[in-house]
Amino acid sequence: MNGTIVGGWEYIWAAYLVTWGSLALYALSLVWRARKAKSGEPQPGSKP
Amino acid sequence: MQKALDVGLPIVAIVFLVVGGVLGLTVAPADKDMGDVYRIMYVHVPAAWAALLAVTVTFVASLVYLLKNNWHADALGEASAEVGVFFGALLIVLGSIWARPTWGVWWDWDPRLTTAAILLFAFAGYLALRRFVDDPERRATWAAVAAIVAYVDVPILWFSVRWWRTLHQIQNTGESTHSVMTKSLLWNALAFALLYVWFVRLRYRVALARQAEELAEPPETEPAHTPAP
Amino acid sequence: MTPAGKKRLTAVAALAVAGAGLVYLATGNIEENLVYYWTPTDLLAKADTVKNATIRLGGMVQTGSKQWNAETLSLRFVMGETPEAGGKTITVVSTGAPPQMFREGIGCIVEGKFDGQIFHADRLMVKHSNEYKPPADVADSHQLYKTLAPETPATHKSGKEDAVRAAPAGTETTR
Repeated sequence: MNGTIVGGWEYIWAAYLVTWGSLALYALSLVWRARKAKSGEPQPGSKP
Repeated sequence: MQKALDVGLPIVAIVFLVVGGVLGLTVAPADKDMGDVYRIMYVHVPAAWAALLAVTVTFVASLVYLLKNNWHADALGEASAEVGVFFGALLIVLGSIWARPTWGVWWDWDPRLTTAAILLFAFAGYLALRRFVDDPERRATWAAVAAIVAYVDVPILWFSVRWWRTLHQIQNTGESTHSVMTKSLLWNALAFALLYVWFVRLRYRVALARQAEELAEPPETEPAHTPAP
Repeated sequence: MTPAGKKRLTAVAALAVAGAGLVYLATGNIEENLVYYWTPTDLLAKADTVKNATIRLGGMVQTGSKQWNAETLSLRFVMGETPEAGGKTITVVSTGAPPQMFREGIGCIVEGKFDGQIFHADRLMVKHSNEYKPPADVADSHQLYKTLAPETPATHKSGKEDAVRAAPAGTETTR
């Protein structure tokens, strides 16, 4: 209680792991969805 | 060009994220009050900027859709909103993890935190609205209106720390921040900006494919009983 | 009207609604209704109207006012408008160890009840300024970590020291 936080690395690691983990999962989901959209598309050739 | 971006963007973004991580976690000095815990800033603040960038793009795309009747703008608005909700949720989770050791609480309804929560829920609502409306024309118009109205929260969120008394600190400036800390923050912000562009490009393709699919559908699947507004 | 024209009109209408909402917020007296915490001056002015209500009080921990009792885990300090004496102040009592960042001279927000004399806090939050600076006396962060680290396990010991240090600082205590 001297006004400076000592340690607290568990919070820092938690924050960075949440960041990296969620970025990786969201990136994977986007890559997968984009790939599916491309391959599953009959491509009518007309733009909306 | 497209191919180069597809491969290059994620690589460059990850390189920036790694460099930013090294700078933020080891090179940057500890803070006089928060010790090492302040290092969460290097992911919290870039997440905030990415979320604000994302909803700003959705706001502009919504205007372009309504003013120019441009369907690509509708797809971009949808794509950027989803990426914005992702970064907004990340922002709030990271803020909460940072708040516990510094402020002493995980959450409190101060004006900044409240307006951030409103932003997240408003754009999650925008995405929900898009799912519930089947008619593409109506969906795009309603969603665009919703995005424009929801965007009002952004200036309020930004100035909340100056307009009102808050628990959250005001924006740090180059003046109030040590130069090595500022540089580390900018690296991380650039990493998040690149990730944002990469994510939006992927999500935009999903949205375009859905639009093409809807146009290819036979017209009798469209609900005929609801009159056009 | 053409569909495109209708959409353009929709855009103008949506912008108008958004703009009006923003102007209302920026110029209206919503600030009056949306006060996140009261300062000691605000609270003392309205003290008799909030006897049993849970309220938030914010301000600065007055220099020389912190009294921490590590045995009873009770914390007592004076909240002022500024860290230095002068201006309205309110004595705050709370239980439990405050966050590590708590110190004299720092911004602080408490939630609880004011009985007219003392503010009994159930929740204590420490504010941080927008300053991010390494400690002035120690240039290297790793060095700082080393100098502070040995104190970590002895939290309640350093708490006692704080109480001892605060005692001669001159504030009256009822304990």
